[in-house]
Amino acid sequence: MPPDRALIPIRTILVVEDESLVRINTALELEDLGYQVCEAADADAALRILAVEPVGLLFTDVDMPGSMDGLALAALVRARFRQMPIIVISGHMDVAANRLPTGSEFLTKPYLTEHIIAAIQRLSS
Amino acid sequence: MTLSRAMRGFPPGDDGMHAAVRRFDWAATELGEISTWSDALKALVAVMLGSPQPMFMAWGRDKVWLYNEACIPILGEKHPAALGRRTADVWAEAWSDLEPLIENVYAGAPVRMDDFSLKILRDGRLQEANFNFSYNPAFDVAGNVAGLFGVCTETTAQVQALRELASSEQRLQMALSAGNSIGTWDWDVVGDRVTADERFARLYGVDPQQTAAGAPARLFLANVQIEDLARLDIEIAAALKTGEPFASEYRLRQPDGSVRWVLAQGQAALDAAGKAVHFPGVAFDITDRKQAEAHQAVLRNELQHRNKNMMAIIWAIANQTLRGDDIKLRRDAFSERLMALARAQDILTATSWIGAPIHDVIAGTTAHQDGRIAASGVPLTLDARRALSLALALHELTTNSIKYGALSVPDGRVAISWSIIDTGDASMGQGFRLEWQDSGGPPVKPPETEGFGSRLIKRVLAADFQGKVSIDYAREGVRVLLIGTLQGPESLP
Repeated sequence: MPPDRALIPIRTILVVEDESLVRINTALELEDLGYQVCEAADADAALRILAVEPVGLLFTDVDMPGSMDGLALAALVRARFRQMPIIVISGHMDVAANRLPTGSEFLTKPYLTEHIIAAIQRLSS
Repeated sequence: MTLSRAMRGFPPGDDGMHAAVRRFDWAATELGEISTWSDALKALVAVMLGSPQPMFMAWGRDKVWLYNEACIPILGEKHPAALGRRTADVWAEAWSDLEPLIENVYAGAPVRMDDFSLKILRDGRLQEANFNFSYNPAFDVAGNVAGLFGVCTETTAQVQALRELASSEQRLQMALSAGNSIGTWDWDVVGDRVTADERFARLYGVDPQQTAAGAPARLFLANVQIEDLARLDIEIAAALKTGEPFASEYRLRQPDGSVRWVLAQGQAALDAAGKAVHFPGVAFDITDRKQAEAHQAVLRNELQHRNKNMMAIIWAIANQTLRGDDIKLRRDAFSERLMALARAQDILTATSWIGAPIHDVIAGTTAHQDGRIAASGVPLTLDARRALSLALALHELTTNSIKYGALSVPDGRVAISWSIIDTGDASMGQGFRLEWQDSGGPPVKPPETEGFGSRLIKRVLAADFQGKVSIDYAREGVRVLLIGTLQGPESLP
């Protein structure tokens, strides 16, 4: 069951994922839950969006092409947006915990919509 | 002859050679009857026969040969016939070597030879034997050289052992050289001197001449990678303390800046007080193995990444397909999409996921339409992401056409064409244009809602080709136009 939307005080989620099908599926799921979703295929595109959109949560894959990976993006976002919740996802189980920024959740692929919701809830609480 | 009489004759004594000398018919030789022998000759013969050391004599111009009991094993089959014969006859097979030496002795010069090699008859065949010889001139009462007095020790066994050792050492060195990656060391712990071969020295970045002479152990640790040094120090200390086998893998910085991995194995020898005195061992260059392991780890990592991404893709397809009430329809659609994905994977696997020829991608998706889908365009290779995306999009278009479009009627046709175009932006690389055109089918009605297929074509295909997709639901046939690029960030799913 989807959680009570009112429990999650986030309006816009930025989904950063280079795998288009996965990214769009995640975006559609989040849209169905009532969020506004911005999409980026790499960290550089994500930073451009962050510069102009009022993003409330960063949802990023780790392994991506471009100038930086998802962990570097998350660290940069943490430095610029100290309160922004961050969800980091990866196909690798062994992403070092000390590379995850504070105030972040880690999910492994493949993830279900319920996993995203639970992570958002933990971050919101 | 009785024992008592024998004891009274010369030479006294009753062992084999005493008796043999006493009985021998010396009158037939240059030496004449024993009773006529000079005191000097008798004295030397008595000394010789009484010695447990192999000794022999050559006397007179004929160099008549005499020898003692201890010499018999050296003579082999020459005994007992050698007694009283001319030396040249006794040692006929080696005479060319011996004669100049013996002539020297007769000229008054003693001769000493170590490990002298002779071919002598033993066990019915000529065999090489080695001896330490000492030939000394023997003088008569007038002070002239009357003969030769020799002391001999056979060293055949020692020489063969040394040869075997040298051969073994040579084989070891050849084996080490063949590997060219194995070095040996021996650490005199008490004196803190490490001696090592050239391979070891080069591996550890120490002057080979210095290591051959012996160098302090710290020199060999100077190039150990700093991250490995503390651990190595602990492991060495434990090996010295316990005498247990030592094995450690660590990195060595090389003069050219590269880093090589070594496996060092050895074992310290402890004295009675339990203190390490020597610590010998070998070091193997295991850089290739380490690189192979690292490569394996990268491959495992990459495989895990691909697998997890593929599961995420399948989950995305399942999540978008299995919506609505008609579960059979949804299940069939999901199965077909999964098959389309699998076919595209097969094509990519054939090229190790480097890329896929576009003709193969299209043929793999449209092969079952009995030639009703015409494909034309330039040969080109799509990267893995674009190939998968196009395969799924064409599957959606084909399925839609079979259900509602041109392929739903016998005369309907589909034309797929593509080409490389100029994007007008050098940074975008080559442009790509692909068109799908239905024709001859029933009048087209635009869909009332946007399903997964349309989303996949419009959003996923457009995103993966970094371009745009337009779908024209024209009455005479659906037309899909993709304008994108052929290069961009590579990331295999």
